[in-house]
Amino acid sequence: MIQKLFWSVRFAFAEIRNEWLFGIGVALAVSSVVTPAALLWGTKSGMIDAMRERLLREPAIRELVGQENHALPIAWFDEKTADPRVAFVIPSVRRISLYGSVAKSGSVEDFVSDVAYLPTAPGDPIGGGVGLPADYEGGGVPCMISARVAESLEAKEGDAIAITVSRIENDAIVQVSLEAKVDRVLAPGDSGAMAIYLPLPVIERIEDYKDGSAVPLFGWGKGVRDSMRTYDSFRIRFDSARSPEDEAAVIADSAVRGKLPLRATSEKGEYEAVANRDGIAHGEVLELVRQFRGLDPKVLLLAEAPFEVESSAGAAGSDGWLQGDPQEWLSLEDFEGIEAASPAQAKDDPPARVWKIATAGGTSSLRLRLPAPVASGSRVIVAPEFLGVVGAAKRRIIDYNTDSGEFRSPRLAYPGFRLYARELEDVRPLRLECEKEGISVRTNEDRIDSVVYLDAALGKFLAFVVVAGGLGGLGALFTSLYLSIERSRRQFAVLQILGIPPLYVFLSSFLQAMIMVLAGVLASFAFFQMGSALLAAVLASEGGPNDGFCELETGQWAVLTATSLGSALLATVLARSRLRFKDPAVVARSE
Amino acid sequence: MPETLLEIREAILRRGSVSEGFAVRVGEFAVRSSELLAILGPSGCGKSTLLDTLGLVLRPDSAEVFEIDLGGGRLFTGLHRRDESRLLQIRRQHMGYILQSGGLVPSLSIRENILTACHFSGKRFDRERFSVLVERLALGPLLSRRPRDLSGGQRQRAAIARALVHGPSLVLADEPTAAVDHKLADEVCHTLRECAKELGAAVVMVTHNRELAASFADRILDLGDPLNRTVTRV
Repeated sequence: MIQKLFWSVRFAFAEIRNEWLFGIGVALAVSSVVTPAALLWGTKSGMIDAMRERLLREPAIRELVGQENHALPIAWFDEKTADPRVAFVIPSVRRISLYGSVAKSGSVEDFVSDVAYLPTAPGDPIGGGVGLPADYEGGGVPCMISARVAESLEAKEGDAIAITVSRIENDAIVQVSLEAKVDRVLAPGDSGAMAIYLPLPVIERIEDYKDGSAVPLFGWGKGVRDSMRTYDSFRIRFDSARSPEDEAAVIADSAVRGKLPLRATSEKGEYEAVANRDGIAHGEVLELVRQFRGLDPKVLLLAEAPFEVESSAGAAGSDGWLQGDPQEWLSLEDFEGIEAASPAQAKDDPPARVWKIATAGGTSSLRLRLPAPVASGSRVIVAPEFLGVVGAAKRRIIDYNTDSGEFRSPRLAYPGFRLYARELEDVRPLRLECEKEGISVRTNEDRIDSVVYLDAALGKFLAFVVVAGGLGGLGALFTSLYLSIERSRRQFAVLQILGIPPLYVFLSSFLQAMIMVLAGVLASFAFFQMGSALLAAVLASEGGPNDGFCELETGQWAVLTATSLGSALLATVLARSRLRFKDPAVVARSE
Repeated sequence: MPETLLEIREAILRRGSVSEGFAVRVGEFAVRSSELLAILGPSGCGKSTLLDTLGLVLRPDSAEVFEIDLGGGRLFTGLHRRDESRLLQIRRQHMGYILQSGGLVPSLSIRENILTACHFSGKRFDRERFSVLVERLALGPLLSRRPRDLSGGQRQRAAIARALVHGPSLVLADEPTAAVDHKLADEVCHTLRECAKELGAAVVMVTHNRELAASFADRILDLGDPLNRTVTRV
């Protein structure tokens, strides 16, 4: 068996050697088909892959940014994070809170305004997937700045920059600043915007400040207007009944100045303000009371069970309204806050009292730090505003922010987001999904589409060239091999007369074809290398990409080689009928 | 008493189709071991058809007896065997073939041409027989050459070596001297007979050369003889 196989191999080589010009002709014919196909395929692969890779390297291409403020629950972000098509998603605060100015630390003159403050986190594709850690408190606030900001400030990595945050208090702009260290200057491809990227908690605290809250961590004080809207309603009582004219003036003034319209109650000289939706903040009450300075108005708040409450400036009346002077009420800063459980009263903290209350988030405890020790069972004087907190806690979840010492509604949703699809092809379905959810997003699909279109168009063109060239090549190869066999008819007839099994004669013919085709593919490889080098040189001279424009992977060469060998096998099989003769003696004698 | 290697009785041999082909009737025909049988006759009398039938290249249309016993027992009996690979096997193991101009494979060297028969015979290569044949046929200096580099006589000598190197029982020679001159024809026939006798092989040789047949053949079958009843046209 081995001996016979060796004979086939030797016979194949002997035939090639005997007709080497024919062999070169077949190899060149194969090469003339394979080389252009390889060059086209290589160009398609190299160019499209390079463009795809470049697009993939440019995170903005895979970016989906929420266009308007929405109320996206935390669960929405969890769902997106778990989606395999999503590479990264990070929530964002209100868009209006995301702009400010930055300056190089120590430089008053060199600042850049209208800089977008954008949240980032580890894994953020911007900046190479590193992002910034949320745990920044030990080493100061890190930040990444876009190339444009870096250029404007002439800032580099390691520099300290001052981030300015402003809010309006009493019709005046109040500014605070925060020093951040430049962790990374982003490449232009990462972010073309005038932007500074900060850890999400920093961004949230900036928003807190803009909302009027204090941010003790950064040394930012509380605003004039309390952000916590705790009252559903309150009443103002004047000592004496107002004349109809005065009453009309009171109501009109409150509507215009305080933006909290009062209306007359059934009690003479008593007027009520009712919150429209969000509740009324303590500061708004104070502001309204200030309007009636000199008329010595008393403010009444509805005392809610089950607390036994006494105001520092009054007591609850029979109608359940608590009367007092809001200027004298204790500040909410006297409260320690709402705790998740009911802690045991600390021995070293006798003034603290804890109440269990049912809230929207379940049973919570309210801990109140009292200004003076009280005996057990005593009635406690609390600030009426505390009643507002309790009331609000029954309707919705209230957190106590230990940093600012404020009662706040916890963040249950974010208004915006920045999301990155894992693949270019994932952008469109994710966008459609968002739109289905009523979320309008901005994407760069047009740039993706152009690459996909080019890929498809070149793919069709390549397919046409390969099919047309392949058919021509196969035809040429078949004809050549067929004629080669035809010319050797007598020889094959003699071999048949000698009793040589046709299988080994066929094998030899196939080996012969395979060797010639392989030589053709090798020649194509050489021509391809020359062609791709020439293309690269031409493109480089034109200022285009000089590397990877026309490339074929090993696997692609394997496909080309296998296709060529398959064609050789097919041609040999088709010509096989010419290898066997019904009457070989006639053929052997015919020439 | 020489044994019968091949026997045919009352057979119709045909080449080509029934309507357009050519057919002969074989009355009684046998080939015996170690003999050189020359088949003579004019063109178209059925010499080659008979030879190709003996070589199992053609199969008879019908036959009362068609038996081959080429050493090692009866190898083929009957007319209904359609196993082409079996016929090929008998040919390459037990027969040698010499064609008019040698029938050598042009791309292979003389050595490779000769050894081709050995590779496929299924028998162990007999180096001594190869050496004897090369020496007897004076092929030593020609072994590495290719057929196109040889003269007609040298090619026929190489063809004889190829036909005998695997030790066949029957050698079929189809006008082996047609392409050589008279002197060389003598030499070829002489060499063929001597080598065949030394190796114990029977030779069936088709030739037009009556003189040559008379000189070298043990037996002559003249198909052109009006008294011949062995092979006749139908």
